[in-house]
Amino acid sequence: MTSTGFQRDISVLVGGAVLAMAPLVLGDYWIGLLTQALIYGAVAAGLDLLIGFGGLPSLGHAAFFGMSAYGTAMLTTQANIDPLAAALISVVGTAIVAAAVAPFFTRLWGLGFITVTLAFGQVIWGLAVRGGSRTGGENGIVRIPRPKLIADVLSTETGFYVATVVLVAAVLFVISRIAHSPFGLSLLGIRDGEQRMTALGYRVNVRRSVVFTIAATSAAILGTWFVFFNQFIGPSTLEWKQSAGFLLAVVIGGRASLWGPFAAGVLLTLLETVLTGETTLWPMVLGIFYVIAVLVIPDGIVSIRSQLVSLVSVARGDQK
Amino acid sequence: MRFWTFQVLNGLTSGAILFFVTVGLTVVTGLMRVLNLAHGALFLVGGYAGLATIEATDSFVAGLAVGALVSGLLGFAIRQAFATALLGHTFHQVLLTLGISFMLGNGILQVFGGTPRRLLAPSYLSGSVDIFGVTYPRYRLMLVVLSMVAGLALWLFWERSSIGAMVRACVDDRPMAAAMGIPVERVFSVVFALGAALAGLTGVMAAPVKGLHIGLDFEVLLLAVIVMVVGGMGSLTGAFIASMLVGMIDVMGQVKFPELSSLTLFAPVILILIVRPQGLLGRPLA
Repeated sequence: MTSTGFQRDISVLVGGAVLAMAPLVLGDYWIGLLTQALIYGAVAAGLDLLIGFGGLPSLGHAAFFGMSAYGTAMLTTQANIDPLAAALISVVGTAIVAAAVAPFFTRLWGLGFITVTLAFGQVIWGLAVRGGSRTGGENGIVRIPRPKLIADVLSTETGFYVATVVLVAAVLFVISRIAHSPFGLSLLGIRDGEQRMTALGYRVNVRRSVVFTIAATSAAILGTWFVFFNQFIGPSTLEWKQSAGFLLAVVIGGRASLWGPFAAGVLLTLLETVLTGETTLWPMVLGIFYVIAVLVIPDGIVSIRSQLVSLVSVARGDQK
Repeated sequence: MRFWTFQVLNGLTSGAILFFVTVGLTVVTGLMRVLNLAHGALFLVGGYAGLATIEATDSFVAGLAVGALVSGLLGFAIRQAFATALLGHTFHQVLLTLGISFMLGNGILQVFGGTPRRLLAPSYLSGSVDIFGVTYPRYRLMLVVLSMVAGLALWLFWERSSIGAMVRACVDDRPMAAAMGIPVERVFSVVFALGAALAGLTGVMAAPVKGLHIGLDFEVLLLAVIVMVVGGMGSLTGAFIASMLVGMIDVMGQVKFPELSSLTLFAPVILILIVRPQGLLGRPLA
């Protein structure tokens, strides 16, 4: 909380530079895995804007990630549109959908908001599953082309990975700037004292709608990027368990810290990919994670340091 | 015409099952403001426990009893073990109950395997009857009739008994109920366990119609959430009307517009939440 904007920007830069070095030590398999993990981590950070700052717990965030992913997949494979143009159209389209539903959804809070986002996510999922030849139904869409950037850098795992690091760093940079802007602070104000902020003349609903749209748009950008990476999209991307996974990352990471949800999103994705290959017990492990997250670290991993500090001071017998 | 009679009966059957599942969910949610996402898993655990019992003892009634007992005890254990967390932040409740449901679902997979299982209706309820010009399975008709009877009994208990009045008081105004000397905590525990037991009982009851398979827990949970939202959290009458409505919409949607079935099912939920967040018959959330 005490870090300045300059310090935060530097840490994003340094972190990005370190991550970009990973191909020097890791093979293609791990680089591919890390690419996917970074994408999911960034989605969790975007969702943190909505949950941590906006105070709105969404259980349908995968809908925006998947909507944009499907849009890009359909436009490139069926309408033969250039991948970059398709990406732009999909992201803008998803943002418009989000902005259109936001004023209605954000009137609700708590259980109501959870249920409405869950229902919305199920509608989108159902459309993808039952979409026939357009969405490929249960089979999804395959052979999605990657954009041709400078020197065709995206055609190799390493090139795509480095580009992902740049994109994720850019997304995190923007998200962090928004979070620490007067707008972000006003969201915290609304979260903690809605009536007071209303009395002060803030248009609470507008601000909530804006943060909803921003979170959805960041998910849309990453969804499109995910499709380029994976070159395949199926309805499982839109399942509500996916949305629950994003929510878990935010809570495990620590709400309103941004980097916590990002780190948790990356780690959970790595863990899931490694463990699903090893054991059919993965849902059990995941379930235990959920329970432990709530019981042991309800404020997320970012709170662990302050908890340790207070433990140490108790052990020393310091006066409060 | 006969086709539609058949579909209406299917809608009623589906609605009857939904009603039994949702009663527990809606009362718990209305009462404790806890969205129990493990409700579907409790349904499935009960179903499989009943299946195992019926295969061992050949008695459908024993299966029903064991299904209800196992889920009820599980519900009681969950409520006792996570009492504080269950009343915490909404997203904590959601993650906690979802985690429990992942664990239960995976537990079932480990014990019973992934092959879908069938459970036959007891011999005295198998076969078909002629009704309204169609031949319809006796067991399904029995479910529809049973849901009406049970709905009426529950309503009487809810509206006319002193225990029902205590629960209603806790739903409407928890602090005031506590001030009047109602043991709110105990009411929570009992209702939570009973809701779970009812879910388990329904798991066995629904098995001859829906079968038992991994993933059914989430299908049932989502439908129950829809019914709860449409009917209004904590409203018994609302749950009954909404069950029949959603059962009908689900069956008709799948027959008439299969490619839009998620829309026909979930769009009313979104609409109701926006226009009338308290549901058809619920009270405004304080």
